[in-house]
Amino acid sequence: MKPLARKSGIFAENLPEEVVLYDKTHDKVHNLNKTAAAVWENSDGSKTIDELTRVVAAKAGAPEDRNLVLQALEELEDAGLMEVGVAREAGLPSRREAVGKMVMAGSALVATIVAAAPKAHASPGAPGDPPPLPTPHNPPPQPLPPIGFRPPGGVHKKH
Amino acid sequence: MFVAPGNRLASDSPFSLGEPDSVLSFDALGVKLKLRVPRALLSQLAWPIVPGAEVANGEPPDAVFSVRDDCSAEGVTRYEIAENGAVLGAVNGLEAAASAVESWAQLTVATLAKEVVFVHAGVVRWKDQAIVVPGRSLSGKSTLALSFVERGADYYSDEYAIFDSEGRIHPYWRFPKLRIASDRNVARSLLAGTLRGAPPRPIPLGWVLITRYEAESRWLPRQLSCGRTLLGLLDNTVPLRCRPEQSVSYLARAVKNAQGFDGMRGEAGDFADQVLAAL
Repeated sequence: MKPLARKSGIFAENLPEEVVLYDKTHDKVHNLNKTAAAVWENSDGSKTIDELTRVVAAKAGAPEDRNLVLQALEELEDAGLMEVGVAREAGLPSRREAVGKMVMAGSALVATIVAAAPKAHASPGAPGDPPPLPTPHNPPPQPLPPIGFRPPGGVHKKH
Repeated sequence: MFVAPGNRLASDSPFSLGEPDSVLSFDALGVKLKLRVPRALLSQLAWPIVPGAEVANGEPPDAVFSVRDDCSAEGVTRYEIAENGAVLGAVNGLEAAASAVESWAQLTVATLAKEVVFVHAGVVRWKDQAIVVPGRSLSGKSTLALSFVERGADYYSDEYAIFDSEGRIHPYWRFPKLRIASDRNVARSLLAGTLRGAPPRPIPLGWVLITRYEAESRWLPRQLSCGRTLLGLLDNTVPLRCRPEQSVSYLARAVKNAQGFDGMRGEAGDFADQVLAAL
């Protein structure tokens, strides 16, 4: 089994110790911690899981941890960031089975949000929603000055 | 022509152009909008409709908002709002229509402004840095911003944090939209004079507070990594799908020297007390 990361349609923003990936194909944003980032970056289809584990450990300056690499692979697959579902194909236990306590502690290596479309940010007061609560009138701080310019030309069509 | 900020556009203002509709063209942050509204609605709109807007004539608009009114048999006037000919929806009553037009126009500018990135958030200045509280509508941004201002922070925005290419945050200079009358009175006493002046300068990002309301909760946050903080901002970034590279790049620059926190919060005043005591 040689993991292969999906890189097409994805751009990366490097942060200290982390990477943020924007997946243009699915309009999702993923935050990878140091381990997940190293696994994703080095999953080029040429390394076995054991070789990947050694590379990741060397980059992190930490002891080799095959389970952690497998967890990262599983989370990357769940996030749609791998071309091949290596961890599951290997018949390995799922992250939840193997490291249940770590999961309960919130140690996800990959966090994902869906990029909202602009109109998803519309206020509930926008049309189509139930009538909004009354809005405040801003009291004029001073009377309007005299009108003194030529208005532009305009059209008066209904839409 | 000058119209004092916050004043309503009178039906006999220069923007009234005969019956039945009035046309108003303006430019805000490089986004050109045209509004075509019934004259009665014009008097309900406050200028500037979008913070920073200036009158613009003769240039092709990026978006056209039009409002059509229709009086029912019961005497209720329904206002149908469309953008570029596509109907967005309808509301009853002039005040609701004005609020909806303002909201949609502001959202369109937030989406299309090319030089900056808009994040749905409340913003105040504390120790010369921005405290940013991201959140969608009805998340309490306006109330939270007011609570911080009551405790000595400087108001920047109750709706959008505007990030530039250097990661600094610009103010969204408008009166906060508060739903409770007593809050509005407090805001007027604190901010009416401030908002008549020029907006403050852009500032670096200091803290991002990702929070959800739960009654009687105490703010016991966990600190977030740089990446998780960025994710929290991106989750509230208006143009993220339209300009993902720019959005991620600008916000990443901002968060590199900032701290992010996540946690439940109780009432706005208690939250503001707890946060400012810790910063």
